[in-house]
Amino acid sequence: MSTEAAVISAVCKNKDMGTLLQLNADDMFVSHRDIWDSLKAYYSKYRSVPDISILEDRFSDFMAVPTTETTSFYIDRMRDEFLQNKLRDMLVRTGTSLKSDSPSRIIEQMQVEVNKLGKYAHNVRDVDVVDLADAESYYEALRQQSIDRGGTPGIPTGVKAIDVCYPTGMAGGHLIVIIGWPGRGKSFISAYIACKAWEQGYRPMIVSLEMSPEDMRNRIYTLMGSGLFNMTDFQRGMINMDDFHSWGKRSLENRPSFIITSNDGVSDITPAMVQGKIEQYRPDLVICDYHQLFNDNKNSRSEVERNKNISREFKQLAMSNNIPVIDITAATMDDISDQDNPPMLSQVAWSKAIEYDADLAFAVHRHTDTDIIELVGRKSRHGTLFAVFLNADLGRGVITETFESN
Amino acid sequence: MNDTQKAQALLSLYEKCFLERYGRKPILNRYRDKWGMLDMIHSIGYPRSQEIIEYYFKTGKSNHPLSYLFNNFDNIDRFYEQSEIDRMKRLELLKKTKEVVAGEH
Repeated sequence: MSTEAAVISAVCKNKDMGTLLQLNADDMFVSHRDIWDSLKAYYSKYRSVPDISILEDRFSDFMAVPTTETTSFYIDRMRDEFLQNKLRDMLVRTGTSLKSDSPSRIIEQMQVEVNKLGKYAHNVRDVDVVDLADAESYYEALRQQSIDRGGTPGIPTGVKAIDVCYPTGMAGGHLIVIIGWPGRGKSFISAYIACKAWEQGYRPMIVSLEMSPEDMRNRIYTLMGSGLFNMTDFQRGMINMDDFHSWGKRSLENRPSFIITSNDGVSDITPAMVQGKIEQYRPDLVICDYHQLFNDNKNSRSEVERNKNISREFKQLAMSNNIPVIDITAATMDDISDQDNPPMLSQVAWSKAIEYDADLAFAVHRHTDTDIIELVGRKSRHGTLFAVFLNADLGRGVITETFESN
Repeated sequence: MNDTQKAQALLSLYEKCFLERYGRKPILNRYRDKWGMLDMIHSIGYPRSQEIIEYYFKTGKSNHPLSYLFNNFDNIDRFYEQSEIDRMKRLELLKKTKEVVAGEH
């Protein structure tokens, strides 16, 4: 059985391209390189993994292999085979060279080759800055991804001010942290971002530990309708079913999935469980609402340790699945500060973890007794900071951007 | 107004803010508590003390005891200053963002 064929079959069966994309997998495909390139091109264009039959139709000499294990299992086998072959080649060449070359030069040559192989031997990826070919191939792939996604490699937030100042968009591996005081619009803004991503053809997933899935769905429908519906009507079940049905047929059918998952406040949810949901639904964007209600994978007792771990584990989720993760977190109320302004990073108890892990952090603050929501960038690893006001009719799901606060 | 009078004025301000917040008057010992207010006046000045007392009632401290204010007015003052700086930065950021967005069109 060809291990490369098994990896491709497993990816198509398990639909987990992310596992492979994060590795230096390109070089490991030798006999099936053309099929792998085709699979990547398909994924880049349609953002989904094709059925194996598509590859079989396209490549007449390719035969799918029945797989029973996870994709990682077959990747490990492919990596072992690849390293064995490379090492064997190197040892044979070294043996031959010993007859004619000096040992010191051979050791030097071996060290170079072993270092090159090192990047395949473990999951820590290395990049050699002077490797121009590697850089060119990376930029070419990134350019293609940007073209496929309308000019940015990541997902635009739908808020013009953020998208202009954060030009990469919410890209794979990015951890975006939304901070705010309780009840000041954090969940609402994240739901709005999810809706905007969905409108652009992405599959968002909201892990809502604060609201029931039905309540969150009410909010999502209200935002999707953008003025068509009133959230209170959804909450009371007082909607015109005919209107709702025809809108649903028109707007929801044959569209990407939009998953809301919740524990209904019953069980503890950890980032490891979120990983399970990611594997189940393969979303393009994950929103975790909200940080303080999650447990870390180690089930730490200390609150500070737990929150720091969760922050790091969310970042790992983003990196390992090559998707953006939005972490909603409440600022910490204390005795010497007010809640009348958007919180600063220092007002989150584990602000240091956010400073390390987050690619983008911004504060959301609905000003008291108004429909004005202020968004302020607090950290931006890939762009510049920003500030903008949103005029938000929360009841009807209509949002407009403004730079005037009144 | 001499410093003792200023301290008494600050106590009255505290009393007024407390009444607005909780609907009842705080229990004060004006003779003893004026020393705490005098300390504040000597440390951060009278006008700033007025601002800090008003700001104190916006913080998350429950019951807003006078003793906490006396022991922490320097921390509150420091945070209040940071908050003011942040407000200015946000205004500046708003202006810059507006220009950048306008430049995109």
